[in-house]
Amino acid sequence: MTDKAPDRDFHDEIDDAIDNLFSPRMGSDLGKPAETPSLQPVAQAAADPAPVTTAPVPGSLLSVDGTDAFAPFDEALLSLDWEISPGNIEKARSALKEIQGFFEVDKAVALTEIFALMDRLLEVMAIAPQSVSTSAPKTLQEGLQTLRVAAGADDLSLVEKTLIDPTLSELRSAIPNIPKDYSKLGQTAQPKTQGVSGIEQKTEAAAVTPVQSVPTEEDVLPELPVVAPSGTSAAVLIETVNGHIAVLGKCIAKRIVPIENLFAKTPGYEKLHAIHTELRERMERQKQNLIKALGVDYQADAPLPLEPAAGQSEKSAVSTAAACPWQNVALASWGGKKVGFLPEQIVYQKKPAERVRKCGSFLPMKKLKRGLFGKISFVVQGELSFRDEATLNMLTIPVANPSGAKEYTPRADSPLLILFKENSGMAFWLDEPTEQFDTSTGCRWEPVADPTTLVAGNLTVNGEIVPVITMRGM
Amino acid sequence: MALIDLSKKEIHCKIVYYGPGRCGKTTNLLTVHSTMADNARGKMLTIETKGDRTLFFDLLPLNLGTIRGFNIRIQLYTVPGQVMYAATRKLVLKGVDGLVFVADPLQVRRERNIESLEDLRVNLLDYGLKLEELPLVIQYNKRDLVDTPIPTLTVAELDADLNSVFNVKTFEASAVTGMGVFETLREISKQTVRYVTNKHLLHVTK
Repeated sequence: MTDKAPDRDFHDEIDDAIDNLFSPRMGSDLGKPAETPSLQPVAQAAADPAPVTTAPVPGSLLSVDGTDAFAPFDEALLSLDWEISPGNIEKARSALKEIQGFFEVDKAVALTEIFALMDRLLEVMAIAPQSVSTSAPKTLQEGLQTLRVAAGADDLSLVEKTLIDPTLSELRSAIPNIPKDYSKLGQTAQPKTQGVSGIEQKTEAAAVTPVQSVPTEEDVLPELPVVAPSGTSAAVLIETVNGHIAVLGKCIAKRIVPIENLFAKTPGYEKLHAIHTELRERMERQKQNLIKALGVDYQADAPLPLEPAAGQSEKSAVSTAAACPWQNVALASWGGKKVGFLPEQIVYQKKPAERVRKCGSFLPMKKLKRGLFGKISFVVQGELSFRDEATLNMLTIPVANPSGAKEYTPRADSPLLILFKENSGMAFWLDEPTEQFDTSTGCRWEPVADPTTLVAGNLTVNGEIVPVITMRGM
Repeated sequence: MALIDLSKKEIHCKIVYYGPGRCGKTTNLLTVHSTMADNARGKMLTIETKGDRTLFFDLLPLNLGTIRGFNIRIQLYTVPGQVMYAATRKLVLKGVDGLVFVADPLQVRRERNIESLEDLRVNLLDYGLKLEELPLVIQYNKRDLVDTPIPTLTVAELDADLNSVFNVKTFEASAVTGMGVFETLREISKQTVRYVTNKHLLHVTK
């Protein structure tokens, strides 16, 4: 960035222009830190809400150890503005509850709506962060400022029009899709009725709900029926809910988790990853709620509800067991046990040369070459056939060990099967070549929710349970 | 990238205010916007997406006036500081000519400052830019908090954390009061215009 001699004057002119433009703005007026705004001229403070500055904390709002009762929430908002995460949101909600506890009872009642809306905003940030404006933490900060001022005000009615009402309006507008069921948030979170002043409404709210704690997440979750059905209807209901739990488990394992993992390792997709993480957590919470509600009636191995395909009668749907996600599965014996593989993930299935059998726990793909000038891409299929030869030469696939022993030596005639998906692969020494199995001929499918295992689920074929191995969880 | 239109004799420079969330980047721009004369500044823009989460950056064009027939404009941008907006931050950095790193002096934000600076370095590398080769100044914002009970970092600590490698000019500031805002802007503007004109071999004769 050194100047070239011919441009010296030009740069000096630019410097002069910049100095002329900015220097008048630099100086004592702007250089002095502004005094902390006093609480007395409340109306003035409310009329000029930005920039947000820290108001002094009234004595009543100091904790027993003399620290600022607002400080934990302020700090939580800082963390929240940096990262909207469940932990940070929970921290903010806890701090908000603590602040409410510090208020005198009459003020706490009058400010309940602000507390409830701030908590609701935090809750929405947890449930659907993508629907909340990035200015939400700033709105919460303004809510906090209002609480600070209200804490120091002798008479809240003096600041109601200038401070509390605008803050309520800001908070309401910051919350997208105000809950469908207002009752879940309590009376105080309801919007004002036309013609009823805020004071009147607060009075009503105080009469109906004394100092009400901020609603927890469970309060807004769908409630299960209180009246338990009996007899046949109870059995049907239990079966239906068990089926619903099974579907939820399948959706989590087969749809959400793979996409979540994919987003996690894809740069630039942090937001979608966060959305999917939140979605998965919500679905898991729903599942746990249903399991909890079922109690002893919960069946972990409940079959998935059968969905008749379009144009098929319900009867025929039952016979074809359409719940299995794949039309065909390659069945084989591996380590003496029958297992299934997904045909589209099989990239190699042959009896390889003797040298390949000595590779041990890891199989270098270059050992699959045929002859001195052979290419790996000629012997593999599917996804690997599109990789360039240099990549394939560097590729080493772990070999699955059916016995669990440290060393596993395949038989001399064992066929080798390699599964590969995205960047994960696994090799299997089979007892015999695979056979195609059409799942529509009648079998039962039970998904495995654990994303860390290679087994996507179990097929029940002629009474025999066949685990289906996929590369989904790698 | 700076836009140099020789036919219109215009030079546009892009300066990005970078830093962790809530460090005062937008407040810097608001202060500049509210203080500058109308004829020297443009409209302050906030860009929002529709439907999805609102993403934003601020764009504040400043007009330096005409120098040797060249109309020089400086565009100030900020980025959302939150971690989850990494993609947006990177996008705003595209074509950057100068950088102001706004550091938050709160002790609880110490790690965030360092993370954000590293985030900046990595994002620039993706565009083939090296932070040490770009005009850069560091602003230690919120210095008005030093006299309050809120635990803050000292300038020496901030220097050690953020400026030990780059050794660039630093400015103490308080964006909410305006202190240091224009000192920072003046320095980065000079560095950036020089950088742009040198980089693009713009030789101007009298």
